Amino acid sequence: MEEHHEKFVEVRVVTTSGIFPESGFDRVPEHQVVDVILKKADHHLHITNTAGWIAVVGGRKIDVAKSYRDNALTGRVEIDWGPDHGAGGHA
Amino acid sequence: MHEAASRALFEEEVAKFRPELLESRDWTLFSKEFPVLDVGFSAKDGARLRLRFLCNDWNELPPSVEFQDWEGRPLGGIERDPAGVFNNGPHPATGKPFVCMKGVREYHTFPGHTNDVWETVRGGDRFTLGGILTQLWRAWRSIHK
Repeated sequence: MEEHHEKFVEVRVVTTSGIFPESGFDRVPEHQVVDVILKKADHHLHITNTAGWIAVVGGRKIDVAKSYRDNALTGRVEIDWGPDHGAGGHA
Repeated sequence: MHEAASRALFEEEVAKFRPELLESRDWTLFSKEFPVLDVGFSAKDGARLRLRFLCNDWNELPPSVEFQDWEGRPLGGIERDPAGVFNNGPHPATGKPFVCMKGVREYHTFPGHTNDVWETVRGGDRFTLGGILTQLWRAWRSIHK
């Protein structure tokens, strides 16, 4: 019978409102969707409206509705969480 | 807005810029002494840009933003980005290139945008000092990796 070993990633969320967790990294299953830790970070950092925000890892925008595994993220993951670039006014 | 309240809000916001954030984004914090927030962006392609936020009356007013070279001298021209955030203008009030984006004073005072008032976005998470800075950084990163 094949043994099942759950895999984990270590995650930190970086924002201009602070970082989550306060120190170190959170260890979470790689099948967990990214949005779970972002919600925790929002709560902890008192961020209330993330409409138009994006999550970027290593310069690559990731899909927060998908898991770390489905985003091809392994090991230590630092998520840059913040608003996307502004829209120019075309003055 | 009373200066003490403006200063307190400014200091509360910039205190949250942790070293991990600055390192992760390759930001250089030149000054965070009220009313000036002075931040430099660096990219792996060697490009650098320094932005000086004048935050008097924050957040009754949005910050006034000036483009500078790494030595702190005002730039006479700015490289355009696809979204049109960086505008060579010149802005009629300053005579300089300006940030053409909601959340920056020169946008809201530009003729044609004066109906797009700061009060409609003021206080939102995208329009904290960090939120505005992040939007500008991402616009700049769209041309410099």
